[in-house]
Amino acid sequence: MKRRRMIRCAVLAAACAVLMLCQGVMAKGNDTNYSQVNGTVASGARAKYTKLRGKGKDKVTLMIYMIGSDLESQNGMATADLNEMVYSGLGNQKVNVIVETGGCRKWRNSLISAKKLQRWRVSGQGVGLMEEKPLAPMTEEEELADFIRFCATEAPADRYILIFWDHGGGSVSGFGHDETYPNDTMNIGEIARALKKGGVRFDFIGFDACLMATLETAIAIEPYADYMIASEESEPGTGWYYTNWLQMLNENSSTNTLNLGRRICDDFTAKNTMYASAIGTTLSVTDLSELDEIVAKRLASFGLDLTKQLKNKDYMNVAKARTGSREFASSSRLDQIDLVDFCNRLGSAESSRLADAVRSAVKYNRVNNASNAYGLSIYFPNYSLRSVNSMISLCEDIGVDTGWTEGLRTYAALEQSGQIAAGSSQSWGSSSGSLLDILLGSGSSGNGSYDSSSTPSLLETLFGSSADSYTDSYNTYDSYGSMSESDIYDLLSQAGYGSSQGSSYGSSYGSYGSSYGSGYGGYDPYGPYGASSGSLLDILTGGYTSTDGLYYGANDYSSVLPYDTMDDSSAGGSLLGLAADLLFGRAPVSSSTLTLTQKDGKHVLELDEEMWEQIMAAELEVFVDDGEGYLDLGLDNVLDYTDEGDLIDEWDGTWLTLNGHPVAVYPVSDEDEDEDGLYITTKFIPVLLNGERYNLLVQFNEETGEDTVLGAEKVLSTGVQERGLTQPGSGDRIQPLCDYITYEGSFEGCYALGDELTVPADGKLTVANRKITGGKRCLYTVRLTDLYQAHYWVPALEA
Amino acid sequence: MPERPHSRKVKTEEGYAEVKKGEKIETTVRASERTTEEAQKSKDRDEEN
Repeated sequence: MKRRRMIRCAVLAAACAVLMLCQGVMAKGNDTNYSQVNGTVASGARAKYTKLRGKGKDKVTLMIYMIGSDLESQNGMATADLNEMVYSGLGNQKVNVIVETGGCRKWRNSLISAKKLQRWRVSGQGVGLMEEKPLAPMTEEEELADFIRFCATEAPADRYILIFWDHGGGSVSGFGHDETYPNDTMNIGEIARALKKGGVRFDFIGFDACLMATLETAIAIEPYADYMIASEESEPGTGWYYTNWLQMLNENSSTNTLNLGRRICDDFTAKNTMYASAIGTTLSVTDLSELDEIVAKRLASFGLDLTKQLKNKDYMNVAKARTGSREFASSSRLDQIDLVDFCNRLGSAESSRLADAVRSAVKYNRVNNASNAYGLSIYFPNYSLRSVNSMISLCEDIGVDTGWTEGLRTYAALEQSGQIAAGSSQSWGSSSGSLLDILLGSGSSGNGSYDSSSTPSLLETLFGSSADSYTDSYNTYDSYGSMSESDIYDLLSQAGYGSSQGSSYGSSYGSYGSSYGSGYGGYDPYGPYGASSGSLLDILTGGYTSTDGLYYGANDYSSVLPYDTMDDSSAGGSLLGLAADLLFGRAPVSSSTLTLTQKDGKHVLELDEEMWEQIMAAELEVFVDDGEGYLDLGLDNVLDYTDEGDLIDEWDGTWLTLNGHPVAVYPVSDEDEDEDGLYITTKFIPVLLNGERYNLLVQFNEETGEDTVLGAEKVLSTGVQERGLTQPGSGDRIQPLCDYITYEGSFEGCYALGDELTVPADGKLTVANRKITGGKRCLYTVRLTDLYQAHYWVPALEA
Repeated sequence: MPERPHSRKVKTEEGYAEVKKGEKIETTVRASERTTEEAQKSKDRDEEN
């Protein structure tokens, strides 16, 4: 007993020492910048693959995989970086820099061809062609593998470095947007396979791309590199600065890797602060040798602990921690969050252990205007569940322990169940309690047409007089109590959920039928295809469809659910039963509870505290009736509360304008903090910028009302993040846009909102509220979002 | 006051802004959508309805 206690103390002391060291190298307070490199290596880390000879004796081969994309064709960013490399004055015979170019419709120099893939040697004199081949997608793993093999053959070295250059989309979307083959990216699993085929182990792998500093990326590339240098957040278009660190390498090819990494991070931060200080930047150096034995194992334990928490009906605590976590590329809803920040907010023993491990593995971190960014992010679903199944598959592909994926699956299932139980939908013409009902003032059918004999909402069905008690083949349940799987399937089919998964995808699901599907609007709870489908059933049960078309899941829990889930004493012994327990044991938020009362001459919404605890966002939504339909001006979190905490549902008749022009506005996030800890709200304004579809991003300081127009974000077809924001300048034309809804509740189209504005000579864009005019009348309502990301609307009022 | 969802402070300026519908815009991504994936989801929902 005594000996065990001593060992535990020794481990605790070691953990404290690591934590203190990390805190010592970090600046104070909320600032996550490192003041110096953390040169320690955690106990249990593997040996480094690359062992430097030292004293400038090392031969170095630096490979740069440069997919030019629109970064080059529109803005010449790749040419600029190639010039930075040349300016470093490379001339050391021991240092070889080889670049592969491609993936770009037009190179902004007279040397590189857009019609071929080319490989170049870069020196202080310029770039010299080594090889060229026919154009091919640079997002193909075989092309990357071939490039690696080429470089290793042409320039064998003691030390290899690989840089990925282009757009990035994090763990969800992967790397690369090839302009010449635009509909694909290289996901993290493909990157890992390419590295394996390349047959080289790297000193470090860098991503001069957005969002690639994820734990999933680190785990995937760990077998092939000692360090990773990447950014959690989107990178500005100017990207890394190459001159100084290549000079360091040129002067001493044995330069310590962490010192090189520090130079890269410092120069990147300085360069981009100079050009665009309002846009946050991050760049970190992660020691991959600490990943496998330490970080990955703690991730698995954390995942198992998370699942336990969720099964103990602690969804609210997890959801709040998740919603409050520092998020990256918020406007793209990639659900990528800072892992340490998430762990800190959860505050459990397992989350703290994981946070310690991550902070130890991140050896250097630089941020600018980005709070709570500790160096490594992770995918955790919240705003969108569309990527859950593909991310779980990816995790399995790259060897992430199932302890973690079980946690993801459990959380996603509960969130999805919460949305379904709420009967809410973000689309027009959904089941009653929807926005359409609010606007039209009564129930409507689910297909967009007005119908006074509406389908009751799911909650009305559950809590109405028909639900006193019922017995199914498993148990007898009291009203409002737990429900069987078959009842939940019935609910799902009433909600019409799942048919969007099934309708366009044929009948590849094989011989098990759609007994739940027929007569229910086409819903098939088994889904037309397995784990990759994203069907609710797949998420809930972890089922999948094998290649023989047989579904393993609902009727064979032992094959897909962990044994302790089978033993769970909650209803049905399954995840579905857990979802039912959790959801129907809580105080329901439904449209019937969202009634307005009058206090001091104002309309207010009174909810009890248990319901308020479930509400994550409250936004004013305004519609202008122009006599033919509704112009949707979007959502703004501008609501006030009484001292007692009742929401005041009043509108002052003003709305956001851009240089005096009215705009539609939508939320991106409202949980970020600036360096002083004040909350920041970020929103997007849909526009045409010089005729092209962009979203203008605006940040508001919630305390002071100060706003910053961050820039315009273009969305790429592959889902990767645009690197950097476009800054509208003098003479640019901005046309605000809005959605237009018919009186029948259908989306009719996207329209220009008001007149086009031209950015003035001083480039200033001002956002402020003004009184709005026009239209026959205005309707306003409040949209509430609960911790399951379900939406509810209060009755609309006429202004 | 008990904890409530965040609200931003409004900065109001003098003057009016006229809301009116202009030309229809040909775009696959609605004003309320941030990404092409969301646009595809809307399209799937519309087809289903």
